[in-house]
Amino acid sequence: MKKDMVKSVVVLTAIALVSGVLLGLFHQLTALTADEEEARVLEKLAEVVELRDPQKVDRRGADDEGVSYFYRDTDAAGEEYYILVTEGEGGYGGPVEMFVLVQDDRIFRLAVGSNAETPSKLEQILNESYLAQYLDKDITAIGEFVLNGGGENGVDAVVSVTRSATAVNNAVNAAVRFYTAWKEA
Amino acid sequence: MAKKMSLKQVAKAGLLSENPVFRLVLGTCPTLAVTTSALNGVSMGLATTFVLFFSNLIISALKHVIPDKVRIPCYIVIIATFVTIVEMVMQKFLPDLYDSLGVFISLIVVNCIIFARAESFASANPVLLSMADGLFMGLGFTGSLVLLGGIREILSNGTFFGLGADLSAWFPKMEVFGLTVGGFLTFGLVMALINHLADRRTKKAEARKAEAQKAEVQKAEAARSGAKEG
Repeated sequence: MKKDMVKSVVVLTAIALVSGVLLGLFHQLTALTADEEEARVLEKLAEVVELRDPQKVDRRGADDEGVSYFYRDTDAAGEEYYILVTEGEGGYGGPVEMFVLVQDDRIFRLAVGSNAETPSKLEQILNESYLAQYLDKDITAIGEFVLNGGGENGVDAVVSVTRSATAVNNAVNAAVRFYTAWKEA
Repeated sequence: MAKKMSLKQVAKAGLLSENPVFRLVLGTCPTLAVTTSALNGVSMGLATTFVLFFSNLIISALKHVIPDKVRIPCYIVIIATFVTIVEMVMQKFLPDLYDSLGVFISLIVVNCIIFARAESFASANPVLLSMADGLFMGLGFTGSLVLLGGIREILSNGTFFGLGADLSAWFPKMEVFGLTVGGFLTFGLVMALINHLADRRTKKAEARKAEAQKAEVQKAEAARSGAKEG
């Protein structure tokens, strides 16, 4: 009886150890470098906005865990705008990556990046009318967007898509917090 | 039962007679979820084939070492290891596919096909036969996903593997086939068709067998009556 128990523990431990070593090895082989990750983000960004010459912006000490990249670029008219690549926690399949485009302190475009949400669910909140709730508002004055809240910073969620909506809202709020702190600095 | 199977029988079982999707009805959740396009189907299928092949190999090789009491956690650790390897490789080299398949790559861990083959075949058969079982079950799964994904992609988008001309001149695009409900509809119709064909084949084989038996009886009677007359 005791011998069986010891054998079970030894075998399971050995299998787990070998698995751990194998996974560590594969992680070393497949881990993305910082440059590769940034190139991938820019590639995705290029699919949603016409990039001209995106330049990394000095963060001036502003920091937010949710904001992974911060770029400056110009539009067709030569006007400067900012791109914030953010991640919002709380989604059904984990964090949702968002591209937040800001011009004159106002969000003028939102697009989704990597995520593991159910596509049909995410589509319900990635439409023009839903995202319009975030657009064209002075984000340095608004503080944060509040899901199902009233007033200018209130965003109406969609029934049955609340988790994806929460992740999107958190991602936008990360951009708002970061941008506001950056402007103040 | 499976111990006496030959390689040919294993191949036939995996691809046709015990096809995991249409005959055993295993792995239905990823089948319905990822078959929105043929490319998604082939990717998911090949990822599952990789996991099936290697998990069957390891489980079969360790079948005399793994104690019966802890076989389930051992199988899960082995299967999860290969799924994580597939996930890491896809994330590095096929990021678009990785994004497209999403959480369903991780969910291969709990795919009934893999666990069923580990428990019912690999734990009771030699290594080579278990590898063959993993390979052909995986290919059968892949073929089924490509069939479903292809049909759904053609009907909902007018393309096949993202290629091809716009087919909307011949028939209107039916977006419903790209949605979950279209998945159920296609799955049900294809399974009904396959079952119908299999039933017809079985009936034909039985009729042939009955005819052969009848002919043998007649031949025997003729021989008996010939002997009496003689």
